[in-house]
Amino acid sequence: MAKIELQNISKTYPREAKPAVQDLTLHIPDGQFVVLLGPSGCGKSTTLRMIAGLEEPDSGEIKIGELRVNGVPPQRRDTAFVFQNYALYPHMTVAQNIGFPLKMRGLSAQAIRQRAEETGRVLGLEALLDRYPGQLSGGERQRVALGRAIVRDPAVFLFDEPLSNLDAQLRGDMRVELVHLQRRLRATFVFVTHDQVEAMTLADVIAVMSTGVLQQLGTPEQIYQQPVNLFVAGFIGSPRMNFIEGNLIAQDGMTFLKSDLLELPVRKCLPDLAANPQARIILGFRPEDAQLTPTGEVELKLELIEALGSQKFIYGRTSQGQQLVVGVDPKSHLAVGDVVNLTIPPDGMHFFDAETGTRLSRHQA
Amino acid sequence: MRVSERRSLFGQWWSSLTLDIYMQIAGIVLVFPAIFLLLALLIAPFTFIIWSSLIKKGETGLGLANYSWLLGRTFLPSLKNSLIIGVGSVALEILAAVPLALLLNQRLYGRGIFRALVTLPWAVPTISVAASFLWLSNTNYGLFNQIGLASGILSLPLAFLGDPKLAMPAVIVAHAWKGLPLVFIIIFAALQSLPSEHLEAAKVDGAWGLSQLRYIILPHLKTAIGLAAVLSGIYNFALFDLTFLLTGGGPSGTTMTLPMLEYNQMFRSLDTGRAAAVGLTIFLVGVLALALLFWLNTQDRKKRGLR
Ligand SMILES: Nc1ncnc2c1ncn2[C@@H]1O[C@H](COP(=O)(O)OP(=O)(O)O)[C@@H](O)[C@H]1O
Ligand SMILES: [Mg+2]
Repeated sequence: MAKIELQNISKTYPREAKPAVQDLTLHIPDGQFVVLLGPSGCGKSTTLRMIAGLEEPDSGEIKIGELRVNGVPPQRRDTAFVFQNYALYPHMTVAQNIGFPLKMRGLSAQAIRQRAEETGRVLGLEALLDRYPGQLSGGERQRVALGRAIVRDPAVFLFDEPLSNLDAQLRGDMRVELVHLQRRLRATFVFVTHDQVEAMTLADVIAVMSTGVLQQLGTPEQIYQQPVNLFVAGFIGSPRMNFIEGNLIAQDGMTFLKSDLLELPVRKCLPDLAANPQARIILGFRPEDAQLTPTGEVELKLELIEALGSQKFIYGRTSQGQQLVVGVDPKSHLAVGDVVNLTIPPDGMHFFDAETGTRLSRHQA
Repeated sequence: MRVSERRSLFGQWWSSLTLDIYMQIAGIVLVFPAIFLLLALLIAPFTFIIWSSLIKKGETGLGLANYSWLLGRTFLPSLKNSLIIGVGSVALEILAAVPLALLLNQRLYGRGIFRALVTLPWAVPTISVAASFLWLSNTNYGLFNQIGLASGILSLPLAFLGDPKLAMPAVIVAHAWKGLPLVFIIIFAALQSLPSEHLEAAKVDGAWGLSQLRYIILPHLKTAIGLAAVLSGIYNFALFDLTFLLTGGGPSGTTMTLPMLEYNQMFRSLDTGRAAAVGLTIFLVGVLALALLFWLNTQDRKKRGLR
């Protein structure tokens, strides 16, 4: 069990122009389940691999527990790594795979077998211990990889998209199991994924990354409710947050967002911005935060209806052509071509600087 | 669509044939050229050789006289020599190829050039290999002796190919040098197909250096090493010209091989029957080695639940 500290980590691969990870500082307390989330290619795996020692950072410091591990080879870092493709050793049985880390520590064959059996029992693999990886299903292989990680009680567990090769059902089950496992072991888990649902369900803390840079660190609620910039706002949530770019203008004691396509009263006070009509800002609101009301100030003509069972989303356009997505009551009867009115509650409004993309307000009354 | 409907559509007898049967007819027609080639190039000469091996020189009836000759004092030493050359050279090749493959799989400067260099002997004609080897091992001015003498390892120059004790090792080394590229390429390709994740997982699990080699890399290379050993072993076992050019079977028969025996029977003794019997033995040893390899591989794959 140990905390992990990344301090100003940068890494550029040889012969690559852009850094894979850039000035990343991330402190992971002992016993937390941290998810590194971001689109493909944003440097999540590189970060994880640097913690494991499979890559060395160009600059910056990595600590596991109290120990600075820069330059320490992977086998002496006391981490366990679960790979996306499981990386089971094909010529070893399940028991041998699980026992391999113990064998490398010089435990006796008997002790190894015993620990492998215990671990197998925990993961429901008892019946498969003498099979080879080639004789297992994807889910079973995943469990073996997990077994190989937990068998030796490492300081930290590192997971690189380990569930992405499983079918949806199994993935859901494994998520639950992983959370239980982490609670039981009270170990530090660092889990990489590009799947926001996975991140939301697993994480104590999510670190959102983009193009090698840490964008936001926070609980799933913080990330969802107060995204610090346009990237996080757009990346988290499905369907995506609606964005409307425009100027804020104050008129008759009211503030309006004025864009080419829309004029919208903003009941949220942003006096500083309203005073400067030159400042371009972006208003964002989540589809599920908008409400349909007959008195709503935005008129939307429906073009597409997406019924997902427990949720329903309507895609439409204002008369000036602004496209918007809105979540509605799944039982509502709406049809393409209908015109609805919607209102955006002040709580659901997020403001971003159009130039820098950073968030402009915390919640204000 | 039911058959009757289809018949009414096309109104022809063949419209009632199913696709399966069409495919089968097409298949038979299409394999015909291949069968013909196989007959002409393989089965006919093969039958002829078997036939010849059953005819004793100077007689006409069929019999096993040539095979009983195989049990005598001419054949068995040659069989032993050929086996020693095959096994010995392959052992050397693998001992050299595995470390070379591991080395050239690293991110080294200029590894492309070295990979090409290692595979070069394959392109060198046997006669050139033999000529340079003769030159290198020459008693008076050969490089081996000069180095040996200069470094003090040798006090007297050695006649590598003329000494009954040294000729066989020298022939083995020459075969290994010539055969290294094949073995290297097979093993190198297998090494490159080792997923880097396996090595990384092993590192994290605590295996590095020799334990990584022993528990991860060598098991992965097992099949390739077996294949390379058998292919190159058969090749060297049946290789005629290199030994012929280096020693001609000497000194005093210590490097007489089966292919050379076959040659002698065929062109010196003009005994087609015995030559054919020797040739078939060479072939049989190769087939047995291959069969053993495939059997072992199949067992291994079955055990691991692979097809
Ligand atoms: N071994 C490598 N050599 C060169 N570039 C790499 C290597 N691994 C990753 N990259 C690059 O570094 C960036 C980050 O990659 P990665 O950490 O794998 O992203 P992620 O896991 O978030 O998808 C990508 O642009 C990728 O192309
Ligand atoms: Mg990745």
